[in-house]
Amino acid sequence: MTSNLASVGRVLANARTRAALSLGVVMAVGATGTFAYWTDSVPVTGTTFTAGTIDLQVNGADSVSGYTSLNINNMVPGNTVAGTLTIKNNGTAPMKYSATSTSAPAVLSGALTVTVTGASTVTGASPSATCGGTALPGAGSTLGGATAAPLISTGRQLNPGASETICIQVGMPANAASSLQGASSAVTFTFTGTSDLS
Amino acid sequence: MTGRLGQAVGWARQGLLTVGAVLGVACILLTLGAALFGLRPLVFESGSMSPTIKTGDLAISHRVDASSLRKGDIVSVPTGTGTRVTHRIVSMTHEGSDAILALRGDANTATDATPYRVSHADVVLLHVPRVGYVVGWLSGPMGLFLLGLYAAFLVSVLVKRTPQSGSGAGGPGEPLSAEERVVPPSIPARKASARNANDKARLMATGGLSVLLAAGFLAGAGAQSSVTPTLAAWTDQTPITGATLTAYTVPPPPSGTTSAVCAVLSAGSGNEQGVTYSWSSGSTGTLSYATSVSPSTVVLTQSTTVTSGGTTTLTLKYDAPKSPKGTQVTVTVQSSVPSAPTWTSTPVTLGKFTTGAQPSSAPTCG
Repeated sequence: MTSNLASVGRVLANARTRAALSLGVVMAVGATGTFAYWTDSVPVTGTTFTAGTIDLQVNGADSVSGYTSLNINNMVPGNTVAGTLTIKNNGTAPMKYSATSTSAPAVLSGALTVTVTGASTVTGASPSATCGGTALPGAGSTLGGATAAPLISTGRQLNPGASETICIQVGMPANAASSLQGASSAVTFTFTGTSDLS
Repeated sequence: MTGRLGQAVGWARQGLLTVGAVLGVACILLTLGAALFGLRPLVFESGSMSPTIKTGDLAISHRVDASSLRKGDIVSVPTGTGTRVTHRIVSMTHEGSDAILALRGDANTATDATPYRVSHADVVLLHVPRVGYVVGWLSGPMGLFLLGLYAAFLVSVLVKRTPQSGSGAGGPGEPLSAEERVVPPSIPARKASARNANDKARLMATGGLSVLLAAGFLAGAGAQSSVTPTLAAWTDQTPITGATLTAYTVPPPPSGTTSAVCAVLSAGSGNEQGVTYSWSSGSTGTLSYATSVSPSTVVLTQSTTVTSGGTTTLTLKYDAPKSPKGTQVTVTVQSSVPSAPTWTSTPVTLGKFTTGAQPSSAPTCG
């Protein structure tokens, strides 16, 4: 028994044994791409660590409760309202943001159209205010009700400290039903930033 | 080489070998575990699972079927975009053998935007702080270079001749020179056979190493993803509220004779008689009005509305000889938005008037 332990100890103490065991590290780490790197058949993608945080701010705040740029009282078919929002990454890591819309009650909002452009100012005034430029990639066309609808579905990247202004335009189509008269909708936009840049 | 320096190098060598061997065994066990039990190491690239798991941590996960997942588990699932996200299950529903997971990072205020539909997921079993940084760095160019050096050092240890007891020739680690391979007849047979045994051992070690390296290559090619980077992405939500949109309600004209003032017009040529109705339209904006009369046998010659200075006036004229005499007529008006003719108010009775008994006599209000 003792001699068995002793011989095991001798084997472990042997430099070659330890060297052979050490190759396990090379194998395990190598499996992530080492050998591919040596043979140059597969590019090493590497691991990118995202330290720090992201802080999505809209109009300089973490939540905006009194956004009245889109407010309209007597909306009739053909009317459009528009407002701008400035989105900023106030954190220390790059982020991508997207946005959705919800509303309640959804009777009116369900009949309205929406578009989002990169315009920094509103053209004209309510009830015929518009956003210049073309719609952003992944911009929604309708407002959500109880279930959120995408407002900006294609993530837009903002580096730390960077900001951009977007313009939201809401309109009532000319063929909107007369039954919508007097209906009212409170609309909420939710901007979500993520550090997942993929 | 001086004794002191040589000793230090020797200790460094021994230390490197011992630490390497311990790590090596851990790595071999992990690789075996990955192959046999579905264990998967995960490197956290970001910190939305903090303070539970921070950026740069290495976690060991275990692949399980969707039915084995529980609310509260930290799971790693592939996203639609080819990366991987590791967050905690906040709610889940089962659909057949699949599960639809709502995930949220511990540090996040919001649940992930999209639910994940999975048939199986990697549940995080344990995590080691900061080791992910080491793995990530070792996978980079500098790390690979050092690994290569380290591997070369290991190979040199493996193939080196070990000193034989009783053999005076050749220092430890000194390669055989060509002259030494030629065994002079004066050297005893015992020593020659020791040399041969030594050569054999060296050949075996070299052969074994070649096999090991070949296996390593295969493992590397087959298990590209043995350590998987995972995002525990930060999310931050900013709600924008306060936008209220209200559709216009088309106001009907005031109903009843008390609101709309009726006036009788003087007769026109050909016994054309008429009345006007005026009412305050306030600041409702410009509206269009559609007017109808009952009975419809009254022949209208004019029906116009004019809005001026907040007052709207409807002028109605009719051909008295062709219309019923001494008959009460009801005037109904419906307002509408000029730009959207379909947007109309409810029709209201603006007022009534009674035609004269003779074509030449004026109508009376009411």
